[in-house]
Amino acid sequence: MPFAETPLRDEYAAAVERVAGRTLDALRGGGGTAALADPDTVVPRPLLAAVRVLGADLFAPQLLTGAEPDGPTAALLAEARRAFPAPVPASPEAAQAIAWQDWAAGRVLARTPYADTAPGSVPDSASDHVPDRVPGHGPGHAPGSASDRGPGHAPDHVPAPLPGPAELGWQAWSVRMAQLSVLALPGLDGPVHDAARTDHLALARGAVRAMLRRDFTTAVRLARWLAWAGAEDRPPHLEVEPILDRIRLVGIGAVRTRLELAIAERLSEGNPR
Amino acid sequence: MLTQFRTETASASRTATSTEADTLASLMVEDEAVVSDAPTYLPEAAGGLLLLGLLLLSPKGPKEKPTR
Repeated sequence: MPFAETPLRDEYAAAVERVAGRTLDALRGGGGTAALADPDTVVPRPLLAAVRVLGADLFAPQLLTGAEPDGPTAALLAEARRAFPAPVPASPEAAQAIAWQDWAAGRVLARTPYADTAPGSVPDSASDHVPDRVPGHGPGHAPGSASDRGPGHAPDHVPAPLPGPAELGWQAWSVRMAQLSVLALPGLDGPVHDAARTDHLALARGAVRAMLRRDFTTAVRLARWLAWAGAEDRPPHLEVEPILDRIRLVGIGAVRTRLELAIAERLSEGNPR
Repeated sequence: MLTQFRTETASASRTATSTEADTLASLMVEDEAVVSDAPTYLPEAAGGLLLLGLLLLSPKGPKEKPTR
């Protein structure tokens, strides 16, 4: 029981750290489930908020080992998405980032029986031309149960595509890509991933800039994108391992950032795609 | 569809307050850190500290006696 009232942000941020720690333990343990909450137990609202914030990263232990997303975590994420509809931030850029993060979570949930729980107010600007390139869900894959449904059958709307580095400049674009690092997971593919493939050099520049600014959170997120692109045999413009070594050596405090670092390391080691 | 989890406060369908929504938005979309010159931990600096310690502990150099 807290002795003093803590600000809501501190409470939710602490919950995010706890959930990220569980996910990190599962990732290091070889792809098991994070066991975030016991069934038939009361789920505290901060835990739901943390699950909502981490989104698709909750399934990194499974996706990085080629396994299917686990049901209990999917149920919890679906519950969190119902309890917390997509927030409407002040800027349209932040709204777009949240919409893409929700898109990623929806895509992963579409592979589970909890596919129909899209957040209520996802901005649905945009396009309908997103390709489905998730392995195992290609055109030859017969639709069947909910777990067999491809991401194209997910109820989530497809957000508007990001402007490229030509419009935003590589500095601003790389920062926005860092905000979308949750999309850099095996089994997810779409316009943002196409941009990461096309503008690999801008990602590398952004990672170097973040390292020089000592902004290790942004740096590790961009290194994650670089590792993701490297796992696709893209020609490297920048070696990822020294960046990851440096960030590991410096020691980053936030567990959420350590989770991103662990995901980047797994991606750079190679993973099933 | 989902029945195995119960939220702490009433029902899961309780709408998130604007404070909660703002908090979530700030946690989901983090901007880049501001540039600061705050000292950060440098593991390589441990070698420098060791060298400084050895220099301080080393015996003093011989002094020439004053000649009269």
